[in-house]
Amino acid sequence: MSEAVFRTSPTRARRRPWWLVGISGGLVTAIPVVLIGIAVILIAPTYYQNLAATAAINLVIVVGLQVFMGNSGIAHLGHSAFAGLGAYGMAILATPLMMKRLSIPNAPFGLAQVELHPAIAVIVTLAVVAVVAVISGRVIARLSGIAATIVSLAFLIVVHSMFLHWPALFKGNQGFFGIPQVVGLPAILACGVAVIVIARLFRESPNGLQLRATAQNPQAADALAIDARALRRQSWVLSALICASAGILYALFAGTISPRIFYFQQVFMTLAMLILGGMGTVTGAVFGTLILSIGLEAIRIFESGGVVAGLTLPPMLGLSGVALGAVIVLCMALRPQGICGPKELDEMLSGALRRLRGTK
Amino acid sequence: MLSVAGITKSFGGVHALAGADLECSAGEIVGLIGPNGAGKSTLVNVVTGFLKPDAGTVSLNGREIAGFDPQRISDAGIARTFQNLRVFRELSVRQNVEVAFLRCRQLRPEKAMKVDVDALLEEFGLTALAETPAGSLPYGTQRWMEIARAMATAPDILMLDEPAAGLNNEETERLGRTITSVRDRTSAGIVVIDHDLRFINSICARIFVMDQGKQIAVGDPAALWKNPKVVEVYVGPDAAA
Ligand SMILES: Nc1ncnc2c1ncn2[C@@H]1O[C@H](COP(=O)(O)OP(=O)(O)OP(=O)(O)O)[C@@H](O)[C@H]1O
Ligand SMILES: [Mg+2]
Repeated sequence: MSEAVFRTSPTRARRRPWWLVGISGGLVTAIPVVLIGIAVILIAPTYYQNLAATAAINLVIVVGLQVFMGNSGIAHLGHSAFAGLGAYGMAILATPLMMKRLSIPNAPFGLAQVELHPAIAVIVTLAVVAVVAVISGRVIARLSGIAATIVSLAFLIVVHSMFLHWPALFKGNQGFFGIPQVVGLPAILACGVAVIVIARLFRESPNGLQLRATAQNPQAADALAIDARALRRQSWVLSALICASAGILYALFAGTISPRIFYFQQVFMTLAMLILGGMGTVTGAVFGTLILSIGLEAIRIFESGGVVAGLTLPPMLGLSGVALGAVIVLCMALRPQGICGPKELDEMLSGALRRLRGTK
Repeated sequence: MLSVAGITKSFGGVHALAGADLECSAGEIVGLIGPNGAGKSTLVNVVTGFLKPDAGTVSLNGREIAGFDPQRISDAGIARTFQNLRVFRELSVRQNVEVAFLRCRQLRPEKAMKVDVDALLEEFGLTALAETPAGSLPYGTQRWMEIARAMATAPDILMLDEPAAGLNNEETERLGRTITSVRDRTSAGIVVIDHDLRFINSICARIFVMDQGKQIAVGDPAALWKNPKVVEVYVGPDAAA
């Protein structure tokens, strides 16, 4: 076989390796989060601090959802199950023994006697979630799109039932309280930035690119020997770990959790956020979360009624649910790629910059 | 070397392939022609694993690969393009080619060393379009890109299903030159299906003619067009008589 001789093309020198694109692009995408977060920390009253913390936790979930859904093109409805597993992992492992004697005195596997340092508990929890994700991912990865989505939904329901009906371990329907509240808004924001960068790194990585290819044309990907199943498994596990981190943060922030927090309400809210922003990009996940978090808070003001801009409004319960549904329907109908479109923020910025230079 | 023998494949009652044969050595450009519905694309689909044959053998460099799935066959060294284009629409042209290269590098690092994405883009005239989303390209350009993408897997055998469809004369000539130079550079064996006989004659050393699911003639261009069976299929029974 003859060795190829190639000319060096001029564009080559300027291209950066994927990990550099991932890190720098992720950081650029995280800038709005950091700016808003700092502003809230510095000047906002406590109520808004808490609101921002919840929004930032949702951001972590939405980014986790994007890692699987955005790259594989398969709708995922079970991500809150992983958030729940993360939160309950912390509740079971990190809650002080004194509290546990009240809440789960008969926990199996000797867990009633376990009280880990929160940092150790995080590691153990993530390890357990990883095992669950690897097993469930094997099932999901071998199914076609719609079947995989239905199984992800079934997974959500199974995990939720487990929380409800295994009170010895999960304390059932009532809230699990007394989890050490060791996390505040700054730490949550830092995690938000970290997962944005991780999600972007995965998207730009050789495997992330291959997975996106399988979503766009499965046969063409097959013809290039791309292993769609293995890639779906990988992104499922990474997505699960990120969503579990959100649950961990929630538990360590709120100190109290209950099964219904990690159920349909959260699934559909985070799904609406991702669809609104655009599931193809991490940028979409970030902006969808920002916009809808702010939007839902505004709607909540209407929901509870009262006087807005001089008008007396009746309470309109359920308005936020309607709004979420409307966001999903309108986006799907009018702009399926979401408001951010197919490009990441840094790509849009550098494109705009190039156009500016071009017109001079 | 690719060698395909006695492939049969039916869809319900339709015998799309009824004992089809094909052969392509390293460094050879082979034509595969025949009227619409002769079974050419079906044969490519069987060879590349997208369809399972009912019977017959496919061997690549002496290794039997019939019935393998597409991923394994691609990994074994057969690349293809699709008659109905299959591009990654939202990826850029460069990413379309790069993704093939990246996979090749994971599976066959020693072969991937011979592939250079930028050089491939250049060779196929795609350098200026490298950052364009593939879905927004005109049809003809998508065809070029599919060939470049297939070549980025460093294949031993490349199968092109109607690469000249929709190209004008000048573009077709350029395509012929590019295919020949790709062959010279890589010594891959290349199987070209097309209805443009002038194009096929100009680049192929050997041509397989198919009709109704099997080979009716094979030979070099000069000899082939004197074969009455071929004339019958292509011009009609009256001319052959
Ligand atoms: N998936 C399928 N299901 C049923 N019949 C099929 C299928 N694929 C091909 N056929 C039939 O098999 C026969 C061969 O088709 P094929 O596409 O291989 O022909 P071809 O030689 O590539 O034709 P063309 O030059 O038009 O591309 C045709 O009669 C076609 O209708
Ligand atoms: Mg065909």
